Amino acid sequence: MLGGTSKYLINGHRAQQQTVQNLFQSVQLNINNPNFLIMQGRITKVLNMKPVEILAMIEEAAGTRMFEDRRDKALKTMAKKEMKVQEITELLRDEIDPKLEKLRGEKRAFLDFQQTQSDLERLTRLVVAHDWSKYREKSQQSADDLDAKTQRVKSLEDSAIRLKNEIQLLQEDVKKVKAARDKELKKGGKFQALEEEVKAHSHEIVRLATVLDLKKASLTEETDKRKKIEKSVRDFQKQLSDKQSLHQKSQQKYDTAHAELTKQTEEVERKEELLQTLLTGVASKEGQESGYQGQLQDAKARASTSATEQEQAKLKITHLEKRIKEEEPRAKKAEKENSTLLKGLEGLRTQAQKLETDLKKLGFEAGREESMYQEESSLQGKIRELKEQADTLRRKVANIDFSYSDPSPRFDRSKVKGLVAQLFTLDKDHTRAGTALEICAGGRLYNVVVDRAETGTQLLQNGKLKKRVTIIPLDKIAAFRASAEKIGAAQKLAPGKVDLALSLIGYDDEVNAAMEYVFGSTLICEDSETAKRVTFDPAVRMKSVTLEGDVYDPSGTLSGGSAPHSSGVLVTLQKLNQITKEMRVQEEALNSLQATMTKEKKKLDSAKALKQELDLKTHEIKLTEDQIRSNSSSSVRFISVLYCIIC
Amino acid sequence: MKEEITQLKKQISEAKLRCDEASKEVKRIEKDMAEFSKNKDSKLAELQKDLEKLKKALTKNSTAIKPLQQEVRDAMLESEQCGSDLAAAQEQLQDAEVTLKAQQDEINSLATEQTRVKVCYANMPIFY
Repeated sequence: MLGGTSKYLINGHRAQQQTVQNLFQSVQLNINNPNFLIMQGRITKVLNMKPVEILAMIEEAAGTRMFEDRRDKALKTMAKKEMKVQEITELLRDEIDPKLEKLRGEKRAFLDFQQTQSDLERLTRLVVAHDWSKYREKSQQSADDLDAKTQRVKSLEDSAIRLKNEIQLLQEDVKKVKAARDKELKKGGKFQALEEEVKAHSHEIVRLATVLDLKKASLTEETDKRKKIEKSVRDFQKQLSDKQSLHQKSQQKYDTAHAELTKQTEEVERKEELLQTLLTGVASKEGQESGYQGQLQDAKARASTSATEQEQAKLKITHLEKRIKEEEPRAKKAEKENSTLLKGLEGLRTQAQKLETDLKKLGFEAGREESMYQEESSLQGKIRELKEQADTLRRKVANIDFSYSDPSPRFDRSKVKGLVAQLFTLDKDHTRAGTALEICAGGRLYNVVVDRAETGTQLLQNGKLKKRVTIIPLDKIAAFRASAEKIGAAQKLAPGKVDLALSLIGYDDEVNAAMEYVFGSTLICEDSETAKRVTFDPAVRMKSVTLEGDVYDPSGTLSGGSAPHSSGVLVTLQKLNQITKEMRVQEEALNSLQATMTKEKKKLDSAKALKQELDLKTHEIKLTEDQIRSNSSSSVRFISVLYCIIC
Repeated sequence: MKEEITQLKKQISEAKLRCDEASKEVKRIEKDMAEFSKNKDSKLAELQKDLEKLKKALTKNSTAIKPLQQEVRDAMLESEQCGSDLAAAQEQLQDAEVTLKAQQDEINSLATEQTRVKVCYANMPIFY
C-alpha cells in the first residue's frame, strides 16, 4: 500500500488486481473467500455453521464459486450485447432495408432504360436499312418501267406504221372489190342472179325456221300430251290392280260364305231326310235309303273302299320291291362293265377342271372381248357424230380457217398457238356477251398468236400462208390492261353492269399477253346508258361496247346500228371448240381402248384356245354321261334311289 | 317308277284318312241308332231341335251372304270399267307415240333442209 493506493506485483512485475485474482483462481485459490484463511479460534464457529453456509464454504473449497461471478459478468455482457443487436436489427429494418429496396428499383429501371436504348438504336438502324432497300427497289422498278415504256412507244410506233400499211392495202382491196361489183352490176346478169338466189335462200331460211319452230311447238305439245296420257295409264293400272285385289278379296269372302252355306244346306237336307225317314219310316226319295241304316251302309261302303285302295297300293309296292331285287344283281354286273367308262369320265372331268383353272388364271371373263368391241364401235360412232357436227360448224365459220406449211423441217407446231378466236373460251353465263366481244376484238379476232417474233417471221416468210394475216408474238406484244382503279371506278358507276372484256373469257396463262392486247382495254356494258356514263366519266375514259354491239369511244365517236356480218361467229366458235375438245377426249379413250385390246390380244387368243378345248371336253363328258345313262348300269343308281324312297 | 311309288304312298295315306273318318261315322251312327231304339221320342225331339237350330242359322247366313254377293258384283263391274278405261288410255298413248314419231321425223327432215339452205347461203360470194 503506497500513498493510499494498493500496488500489486507478480514475479516482480507490476499487475492489476484482477490479474492477481485470476492468477489465484487459476490455482483454485479464491482470495475473496471469507474463509480463505480460517483464523485460530474461529474453527468452532465454522463447526457451528448453518447448512447453507457450509455449502457455500464447500463451494469455495471446491473452487466452483469463483465461476459464479464470471457467469454473472458474462450474463450482463450478453444482455448488453443483446440490446445492441436489437438496436442494430431495428435500424436495419426501419432505415437500411427500405433504402436498399428503393435502390434496387432504381437499378432495375436503369437496366430497362439501357435495354430500350439499345433496342431503339438497333431498330433505327433496321428502318434505315429497309428504307434504303425499298428505295433501291423502287428505283430499279422505275428504271424497268422506263425501259418497258420506251419499248412500248417503239412498238406502238411500229404498229402504227404497220396498221397504216394495212389500211392502205385494205383500201386498195376495197377499191378492187368495188370495181368488180360495178363491173358485175353493169353486166347485170350474174350479180342479179346471185342476188336473187341470196334472197330466195334467205326467204327459204326464214320459212324453214318458222315451220321448224311451229313443228317444235307442236312436238312439245304432243310430248306433254303423251306424258299426261302415260300418267293416266299409270293411274288406271294402279286403280285396276287395286280393284282387282278388292274383287279377289270379296270373291274369296263370298266363296267361303257360300261354301259354308252349301254345307249347312246339305246338313239341313240330310237331317230333314233323316227326321222324315225316322218319323214316317219312308224315304223321301224313292230307291234311296236315307235313315240310319242308309247312312250306316254308306259309311261302311266308304270305309271298305278306302281299305281296298290301301291294300291295292301295298300290293303294288310289294311288286315293285320284288322287281328291284331282281334287277339288283344285273345292275351290279353292268356297273362293273361300265367302270372303264366311269374312270374315263372322271379323267375328263379332271381335265375340264384343270382347263377351267387355267382360264381363271389367265383372267378370262366371258363376254369381255365382245364388250370391248362394242365399246370400240360405240366410241367410233360418237367420234363420227362429233366430226360431222364439227364439220357443219366449221362450214359456218369458214373464214377462221388458218393453215400453213411448216416453214422449216422439224418445225415445232406448238409454237403457233392459233387464231385469237380459238384461244379463249366463253363461259355459258357470258354467252350473251358474244356479240360485244366480237365487236371489241374486231379484226384482232383473226390474228395469229405465236410464241416468239422469230416464229412469226418464219411463218410469214416460209409458211405459204393462203391469206394475209397479222401475227401476235407473245414475247414482243405490248400488252395493255386497264388499271384496277379505272375498272373499280367504272363498276362503282354502274354496279353489276360493267365488266372488263378480259374478265368475261377464259384462256391459258401462256396466251395472257395476247388476250390482254385484244381484250384488255375495253369495257363491256349491259346497256347504252351505262356505256355512255362509264366511257365519258373522267375517272374512267375507256372504250365501251354494249351487249347489242354499240361502241362508245372516249374520243367522242359512237358506232352501232345493224348487227355485223360475222355476228354469232364467236358463239359458233365456242361450240366448235367444245366439240373439238370432246372429240379429242373420245379419241384418246378410243386409242387407249385399242392399245388395251392389242395388249390383251395374245392373252385373249390363248384364253380362246383354252375355252375351245374346255367346250370340247364338256361335250365329251356329256356324251360319256349319256352313254353311261343308256347302259344298264344306270339302273343301279336308280334302284338305290328307289330303296331310299321305300325305306 | 319313282313317281309311281311316291304316288302310291300318298294314295295309301289318303285312303287311310278316309277309312278312319268312315269308321268314326259308322261308330257315331251305330251309337245314334242304339239311342234311337232305346228312346225314340226324345231322340226325335232332339233331332227336331237340331234341325230348327240349323235352319235358323241357314236363314241368317243366306241373309248375310246377299250383301257379300252384291259387293262382289260391284267390285267386278268396277274392275271391268277400269280395265276398259285402261285399254282406251293405252290406245291413246299408242296414237300419241305414232304422232310424236311422225313429227320428230318431219322435224329432222326440216332441220336437214335448213342446214342445207344455210350452208348454201353461207357459201354465196360476198360483194361490198
